[in-house]
Amino acid sequence: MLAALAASACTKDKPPEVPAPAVTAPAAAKDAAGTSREEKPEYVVELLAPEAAPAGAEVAATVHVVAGEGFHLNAEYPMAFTPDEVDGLVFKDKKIPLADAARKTPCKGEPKDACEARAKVPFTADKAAKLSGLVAFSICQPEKCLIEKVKLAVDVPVK
Amino acid sequence: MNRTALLLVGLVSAVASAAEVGAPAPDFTLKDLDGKDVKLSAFKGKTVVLEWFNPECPYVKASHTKGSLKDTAQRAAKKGVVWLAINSGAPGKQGHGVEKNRAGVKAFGLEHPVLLDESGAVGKAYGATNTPHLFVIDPRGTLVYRGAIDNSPDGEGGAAKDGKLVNYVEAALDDLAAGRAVKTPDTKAYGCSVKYGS
Repeated sequence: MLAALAASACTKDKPPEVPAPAVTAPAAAKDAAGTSREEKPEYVVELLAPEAAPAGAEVAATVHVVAGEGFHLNAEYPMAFTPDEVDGLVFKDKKIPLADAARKTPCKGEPKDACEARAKVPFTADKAAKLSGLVAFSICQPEKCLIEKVKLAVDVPVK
Repeated sequence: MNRTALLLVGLVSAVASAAEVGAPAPDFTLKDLDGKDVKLSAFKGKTVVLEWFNPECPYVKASHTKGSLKDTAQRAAKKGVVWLAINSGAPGKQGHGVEKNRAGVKAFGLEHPVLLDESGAVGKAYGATNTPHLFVIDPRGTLVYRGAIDNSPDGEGGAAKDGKLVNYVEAALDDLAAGRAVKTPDTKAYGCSVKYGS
């Protein structure tokens, strides 16, 4: 689903026909281990857990945002991941800006815009725990912009 | 002259007409939400702030409810500054129309007029690209600031560059009140694009 959406996300040739967004109340984060995802017509956002590593080793989760068809990422918005405080997980900062670190994929036919971003969230895990936090990003189309704050959570395995 | 050349001439003309800092601010007459004409030059002798506005833009919402635009116009008005919001959105675009703008006025507690620029002519004359996009005009009618409301592009004041929130418009108004040149006259606006019709 994500790959299909990513492949079509950047097309701006067609006029956007996006259903009215229900974006004011982000859906609850999925509780599956490995990947937590929220999908809407306007975007897909994922938090991917790292591979299992020894306790105390620095690992990195991945935040992945894909703009829906007709939308692009607003490059000026300070995209960030704000992790919840969880026993066993140590982050360098309380709020991790992702914009500078993010690898952004230009939109098809619109090289000035980015339609997909992927960024690392480094941390250390002393024990298996659930990594949760808020991904903040903004997406726009010619008719409207949205600011999204999505809560996601994944299990962090430790060897 | 062929069609391509005509298009190029048109493009250059549109760019050249954008307002420049240090130059006279382009005059305009627009209608407010009650249909009353508001003419910029009628305020000559007063400092004027123009705020490009879209009540449904999330950056505008965030700035007016949590960020640097919250109550800023009211504070400025107490010092004699005229504050005018301008919506250059075209029909069918986000935030267009009298009722949506009235709702924005109510939601944000605005006490200043919102002017409608459906054709986008005034927005383009000023080079307004975003909502919010701010322009400060001194009492002589010279544009002395254009750009963002502040240095926190999340609109909420929570992501200030270098960790210190700077309200560029209030700083410019302070400079004018003190008789100083505006220290930071030009910044890059952030937010939604202005929803022009073409």
